Amino acid sequence: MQTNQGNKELKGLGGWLILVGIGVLVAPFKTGAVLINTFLPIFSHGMWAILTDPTSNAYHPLWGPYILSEVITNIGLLAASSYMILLFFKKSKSFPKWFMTISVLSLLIIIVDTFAVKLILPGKPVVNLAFIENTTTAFVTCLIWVPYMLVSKRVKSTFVQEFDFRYLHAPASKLQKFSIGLIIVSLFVMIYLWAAGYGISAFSRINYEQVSSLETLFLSVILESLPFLLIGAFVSAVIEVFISEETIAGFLPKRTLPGLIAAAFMGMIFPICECGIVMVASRLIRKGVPLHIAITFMLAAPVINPVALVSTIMAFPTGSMAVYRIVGTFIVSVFAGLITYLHFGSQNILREDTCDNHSHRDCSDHPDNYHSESLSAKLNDVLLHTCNEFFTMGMYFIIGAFLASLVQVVIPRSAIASVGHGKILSIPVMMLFGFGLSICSSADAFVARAMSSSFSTGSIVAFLVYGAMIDLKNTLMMSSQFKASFVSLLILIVTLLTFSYALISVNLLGV
Amino acid sequence: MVFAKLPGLIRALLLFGFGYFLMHVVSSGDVLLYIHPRFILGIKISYCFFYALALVQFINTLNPQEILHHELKRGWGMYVIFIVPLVIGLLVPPKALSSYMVNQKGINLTNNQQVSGRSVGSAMVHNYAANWKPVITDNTFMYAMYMLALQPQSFVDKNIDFVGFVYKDKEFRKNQLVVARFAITCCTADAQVLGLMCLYNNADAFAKDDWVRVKGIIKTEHDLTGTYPTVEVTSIKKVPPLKMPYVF
Repeated sequence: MQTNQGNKELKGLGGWLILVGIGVLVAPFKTGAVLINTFLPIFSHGMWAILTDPTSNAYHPLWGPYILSEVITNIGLLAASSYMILLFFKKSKSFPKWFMTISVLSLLIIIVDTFAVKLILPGKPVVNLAFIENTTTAFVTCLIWVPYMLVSKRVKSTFVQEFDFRYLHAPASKLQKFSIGLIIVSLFVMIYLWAAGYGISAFSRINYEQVSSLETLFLSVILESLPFLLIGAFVSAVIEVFISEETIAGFLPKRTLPGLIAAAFMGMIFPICECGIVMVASRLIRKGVPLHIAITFMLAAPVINPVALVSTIMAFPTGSMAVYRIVGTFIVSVFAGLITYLHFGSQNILREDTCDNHSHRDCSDHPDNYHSESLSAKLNDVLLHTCNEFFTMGMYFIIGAFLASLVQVVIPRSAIASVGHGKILSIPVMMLFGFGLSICSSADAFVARAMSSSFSTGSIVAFLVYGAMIDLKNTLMMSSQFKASFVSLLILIVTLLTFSYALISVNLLGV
Repeated sequence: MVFAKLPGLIRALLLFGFGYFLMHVVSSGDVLLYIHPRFILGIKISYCFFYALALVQFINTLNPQEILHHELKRGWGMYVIFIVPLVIGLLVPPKALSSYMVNQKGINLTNNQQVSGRSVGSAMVHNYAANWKPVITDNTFMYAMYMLALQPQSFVDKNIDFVGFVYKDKEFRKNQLVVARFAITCCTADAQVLGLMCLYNNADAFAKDDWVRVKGIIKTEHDLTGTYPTVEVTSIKKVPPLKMPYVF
């Protein structure tokens, strides 16, 4: 009861939420204005016909698809932001989620949009007043208001209502899914256009070279990672069978911050690389390790370990890049752990359907004293668990490896090099690139070195810090264990933190 | 109830398949088309481990304990995914990366001193240039290319003799071709292109992906990104593709 009274002052649509409210109220009008001012004239004044007529001077094959996807995106945004006003004033539980999703999507749209325009009109300067204004607004929203939504007590105690479309007797939540889906689809269309414009349209020009490169890369990623995947599965199985919850509890620091710092350096003692770390981390959570500790460990271990360190120093002999990388990983992983602690506490974020092996917490199919006592039986258990882990995780791992190889084959590096020296834009681009590549944290430093002459230092730092924590392969593997809502939040947090770190450490402090 | 045991048997078979695939790749030597040699030991241990897992899974499927009852509830779709790498790995003939991926990865001819650190590099380059040996082998290729890119001026007028595949770009002049190798750190996903721009009047005689042995004299050229080494070709001839196309 006491906490309830304490929260009473921090409840309702007041305080900082007033600012959020103003933003939410203005958003649909802004999007509407863009639609009316920019896109309506294109259709009403015959511009559309000129831009899409192959015989005219202004023709570019991408104008048509570009304008259409812009219009669809903006209509989707308009619908979503209008709906958000409703959610806001009804104090709906889902408002924070919507707010965060739309903020991040808006930022992505601006980035992709910039690329598209650069593609169609290579000569036109991209950076003008309106662009700076738009980007800054979007960045600030993501940097300030998204973390605010995550940690604010007021947000937590205000948005509690079960309001949804279902209660308006409208078709159940299909509309929200539809509008979000629409935005995402058109985003993908735009990203695709960007890749296609560089002559690598995935569907029309598939050739033998591409397919055989894809095969080689795919098998090579699989072969390189299989041993590490097995190690991860094995370690996880050993923890499950041999280490009791009491033993683990005895080792853990009792206070939050020292615990997080210790977790960040655990990789020095247990060097488990990206491919195995998700399995180990989720096993630790099942064994009673607090969520925030496991998450910090999961994020930091692939970078803060001897192997990754040595390879980073080998690739960048001056050592400053290794320092940037370690400090960045440390800061991001500890903060991500802290936010997890504040936002999720000890909620269960593991997927409910992951009861493939008997976990004492989630699935009560087994009595607690299930494990057999004899060593040979225990060994048998360990190997069976290893099989299970391998099959649970392997599926996501294989899909991830395939997608990552596809990215390499379809998107040429020169496509992103055009923004390489831009101090700000290059950072998200390299983060996105690191995400798509999904290469092992002990090898990515060499790739980064090869690109370092055409990319800003800040973006290289971002690539090294981000790619090891979050990438395509890893995301798929995380979503095999954790709830989708948790995975997307974690990605959001790490993305924002890495971006700010790269921006601040290199561009502002200029170290 | 054979049907109830089917998922377990399929799993055992897949684990066996992975073990066989890894063993096949190592014994045929194709493994070096995909990954760095230092991972071979890991692959060998892995296939032993896969065989052991297959055996354990098989025995436990035949004599189920209570643990097995609920662990195999997953859909059948997942097994299809596991078959894909096995089919590609065992049935499709292996192929090394080609110059198509040079196009994708891009090639860096100029140095990148702003990160590498001028002072550290300089002493190393001088030392290397003083002990220069013209014939570049598989083992010295990577280091030689780094040194050349770092400070091309130190190597001007020295002889060079090396083997690589031909890469051409539509922006190249008529007498230009790049002769390069892929350098692998872990696996081909992180392959970098290392090579030298060669100047040869009859460059048209060589097509992309031809393997050639080049002898020539090192010179330098400038462009917007900086100074890079070039080779004035004195002799160039086609050679059969190397069995070991990458350098490590």
